[in-house]
Amino acid sequence: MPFINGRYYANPAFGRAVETARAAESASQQSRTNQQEQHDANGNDGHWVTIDGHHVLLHDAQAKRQSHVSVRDKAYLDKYYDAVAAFAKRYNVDPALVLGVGIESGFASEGTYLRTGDAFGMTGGNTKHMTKSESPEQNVKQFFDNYGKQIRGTGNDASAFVNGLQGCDPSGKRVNGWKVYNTDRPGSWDTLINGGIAQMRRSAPIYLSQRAKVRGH
Amino acid sequence: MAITLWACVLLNVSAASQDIYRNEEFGITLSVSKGLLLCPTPNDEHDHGPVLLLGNTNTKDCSEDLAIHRSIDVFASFNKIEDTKTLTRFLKSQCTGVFKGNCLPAPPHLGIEGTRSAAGRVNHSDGWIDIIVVTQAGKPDPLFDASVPSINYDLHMHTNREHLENDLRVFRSVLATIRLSPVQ
Repeated sequence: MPFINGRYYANPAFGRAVETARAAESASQQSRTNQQEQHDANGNDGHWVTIDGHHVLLHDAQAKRQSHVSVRDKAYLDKYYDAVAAFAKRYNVDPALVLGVGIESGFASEGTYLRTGDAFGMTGGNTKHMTKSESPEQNVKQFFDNYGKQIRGTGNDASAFVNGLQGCDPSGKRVNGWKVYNTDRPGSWDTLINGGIAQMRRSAPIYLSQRAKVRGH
Repeated sequence: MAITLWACVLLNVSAASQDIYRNEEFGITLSVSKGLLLCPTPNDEHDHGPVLLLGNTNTKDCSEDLAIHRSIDVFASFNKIEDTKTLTRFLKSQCTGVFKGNCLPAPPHLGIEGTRSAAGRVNHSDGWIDIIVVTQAGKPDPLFDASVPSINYDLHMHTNREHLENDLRVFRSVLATIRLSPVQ
């Protein structure tokens, strides 16, 4: 299946068209953001925060567009990209969505991962309930064994993907018998995972482009 | 007599362990004061931090939607995302992403001693109020960004207008006693 800008498309012409439209929309969004920043600079917008006890009006500024992959993200993608991509293709899901769940372990760099080899936070808070993985390939298989059924066919729809992990159908309705990734703080967890997905949506295409150059493609 | 004494020791140890939440992975230690109910962490899920219920509640309430209960919770995660790597970006993400509102000025005197923190407030049309304090700790990861701590902490109180002042006192007490000491 063709892979265009980090996404799979059954029809390559359709895929290129979608990605071209997406790029145009992104450029338009960036233009609107720049206008918004100008608006903010005039003091007409922003939001209040309290930093170290002082109330401060912050002008909203879009985070600078990432043009490179951090060493951390590259190390993670070196370990996990190919294993995730192979399963993701079978389950018809964008690899960036699955890779985003790696934020649970700081993208395979922190915490429980260092003892267990599980990058996806499938561990409990104690030693009785820890998912242990011998390799990224095994870890990815564990992830799909646990949640593959629930995320199958979500494509590049992050909302449907996160709903699936949380035991819901794409519309957000609970499905009897489905596992729930995080039950006690679903709002915080969903936001965390969506942040991980956004990061991987930026990093994975750059990573693939750089990898292709290195390999001489 | 010896049996009685031993039983007392066991009871004391048990009581002490129930009153203190510890999370080794994110370096959280919290003594749970009276008036707060510490919800049990689901055994088969990644533990991101404690959930405490305010008011007259029981453990059964922990399994219900937290949005219908007054509560205080801590949610820790690794700081490896561009969108949330600074305090201001992180706070904005919590207000808009988690609590679906704009960040308003927070009540005074909300922070954690020894750390930089930022605070905000989200008012909801149904009368609920979310107070958010964010802070960061942990040795920076130079492979991501050497200028930012490695763990993000979101400390959050969910209350209503009627209980705001009293619950703020409890929240300030939690902020004063919580220890965030991630393994370096």
